This record gives sequence, structure tokens and C-alpha cells, in this order.
Amino acid sequence: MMSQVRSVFYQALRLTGPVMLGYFPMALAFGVLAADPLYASLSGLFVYAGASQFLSVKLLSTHASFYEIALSTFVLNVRHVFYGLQFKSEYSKLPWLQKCYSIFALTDETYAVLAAGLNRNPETTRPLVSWVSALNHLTWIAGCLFGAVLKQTAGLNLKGLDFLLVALFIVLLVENIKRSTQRGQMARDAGIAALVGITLAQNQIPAGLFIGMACMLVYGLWKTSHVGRGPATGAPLNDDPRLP
Amino acid sequence: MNIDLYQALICVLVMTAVTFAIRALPFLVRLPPGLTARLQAGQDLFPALFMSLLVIYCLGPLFPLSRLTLEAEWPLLLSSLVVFVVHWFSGRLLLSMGGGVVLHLILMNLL
Repeated sequence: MMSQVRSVFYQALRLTGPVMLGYFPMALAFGVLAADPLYASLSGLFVYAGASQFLSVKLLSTHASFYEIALSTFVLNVRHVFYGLQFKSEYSKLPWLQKCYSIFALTDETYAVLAAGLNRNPETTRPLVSWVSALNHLTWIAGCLFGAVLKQTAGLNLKGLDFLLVALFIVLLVENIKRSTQRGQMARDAGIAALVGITLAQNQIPAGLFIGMACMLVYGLWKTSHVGRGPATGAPLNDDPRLP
Repeated sequence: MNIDLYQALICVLVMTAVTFAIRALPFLVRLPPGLTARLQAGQDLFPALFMSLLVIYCLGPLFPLSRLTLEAEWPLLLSSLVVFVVHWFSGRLLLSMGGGVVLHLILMNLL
């Protein structure tokens, strides 16, 4: 029993290690920006949404209204709806409490890791989801707290450290394209998404992101329209031979 | 930054509620099985599409390109290109992310 737990733990660590490596300095950057250990740790513990947390620091400094905070959070995080849609059947097999926590902890990076690493064996899927979610979350909280403490004690000022968020998204995008068996097609699709984003970003970014997400959902559904219509069904959930 | 504790706590509360509601929404609504199957079939496609949009979202200050300034936007553009190219060819996270972030920090603090 213990050896199985240990095996799944190491499997989760191997899967999500790169994300943890990216998360810690990114959360550290958030902590440095927030500069308040209590706010940084509470935000890391309960909000647990990187881009929104970075934005919250800016909103708090400008004394934004709660309506503005709620709307910005909604626009920034609405993409998570699509992540949940994809994991609906997997998560429905989890016990209630584990399911609630896993839903709460379904961030961009956790989604990317789980989309790549989930297999259909429920014996390992259940603990794997929890371990990946918990490892990422703990790393995030530790980074937030450590960054804020560092800022308060050492007066650390790292102008430009928030670039970590951009770097992490770029790395995840490259990983997604490289992992695909149809790399060229995937790169073309990502390019189309980028073009849509650039077109929408010309005016107002948050609204552009929202519209862009909707466009990509429609485009993705159109691309997978063959599924369920005949013998040629979509790719299985875990078709990458390199994955466990 | 000086944060008002009351405002900060309300901010955390509001953001937590909105974020969790968004994440939980797909588990609370019933979807036709066909649509669920299509979403699952797009397991490679959707992350790439969303990540592309997020990258563009984060690179928002770069657009339109004619507005680029040396102080803020050029470091962002250069560092992003470095991360992309290095990660594409090396696949090593520490090298690509670390290199890009260090370059960005140097450019931001020097220029």
C-alpha cells in the first residue's frame, strides 16, 4: 500500500516537477509584489489563480471597486470552464471532498499537466490528480509567503520578475505543440489562436481574451466535429507512448 | 505596497468565490455526451489554443507593434522570443525559463 502511494507520489512529482519549478519563483514574484505576508499567503491559499493574483495587487493599489475585482477575475479565469469540461468524466469518479479540492485547484498549469499525464486506470488516476494538485498548490503558497517575507525583511526589489508568468505560458505552449503527434497542424492552430488574440488585443485586452476563448472553443469543436459521427473517433485520452 | 487589510480580505473573498464558481461550473451543468466526447478528443488542441491566447494576453503591451518602446516592450519581446526558441530547441525548462527571466531582469534594470 505504502509503496503504491510512494510510486504515485513520484509519478506526480515527475509529471508536475517542471510546473513546480516554474511556480515557485512566479509565486515568489507575486509575494514580492504584494509585500504583505498575510495577503500573499491568503491569496495563494484561497484564490490560487496566478494571473488574477498579479492583477489583484494592481487593483488593490488603485483602490478598485469589488465589482471591478469580480469582473476582472471572471474575464481572466473564464477559460477554466473549458478545462473543467474536459475533465468532467475523470473528476466525477473522485470522492466528493477530493473532487471539490481538485476542481478548486484546476489551474492552467495543473490542467496542462493532467491533460498530458492522466491515464484511465482509476487506481492511479485518483491519487495522481490529488498529488499533482496538492504539490502545485503547496509550491504556490510557499512561494507567495516566502516572496512577501523576503520583500519585508530584505527589501527585495526585482523589477521585471513578473515576466515569469509569460515565460511559463510560453513553455507550456511549446510543450503542448511538441507533445502533439501532429506538430505542424498543432503549430498552425496555435498560430491561428495567436492571430485571433493579436487582432482582439489591439483594443481591450480583457474583453479580447474572453472573445478569443469563445472563438477558440468554437474552432476546437469544429476541429473535433468528426468525433462520434462514424468509426473514426477522436484520439484516446492517453495516446502518447512517452507518458506513464 | 501598503494594503488595507479589510480591503485585501474582501478582495481575496471575492476572487476566491468567482474563481471557484468558474472552475466548478462545468461540473454543475449537464452536457450532451457527444459534446463531452468532442472536448475530450481535443485534449491536445484546446490547451495549445488557450495557451496561445494567454501568451498573447500576457504580451498585450506589445500590440500594436508600432508602439514599442525601449524601456518596457522591447525587453518583453526579446525575452519572450528567447524563451520560445531556447525551449523549442533544448526542451530544458531551467535553461529556457531561467535564461529568459534573467535576460528580462537585466534588460528591465539596465535600459
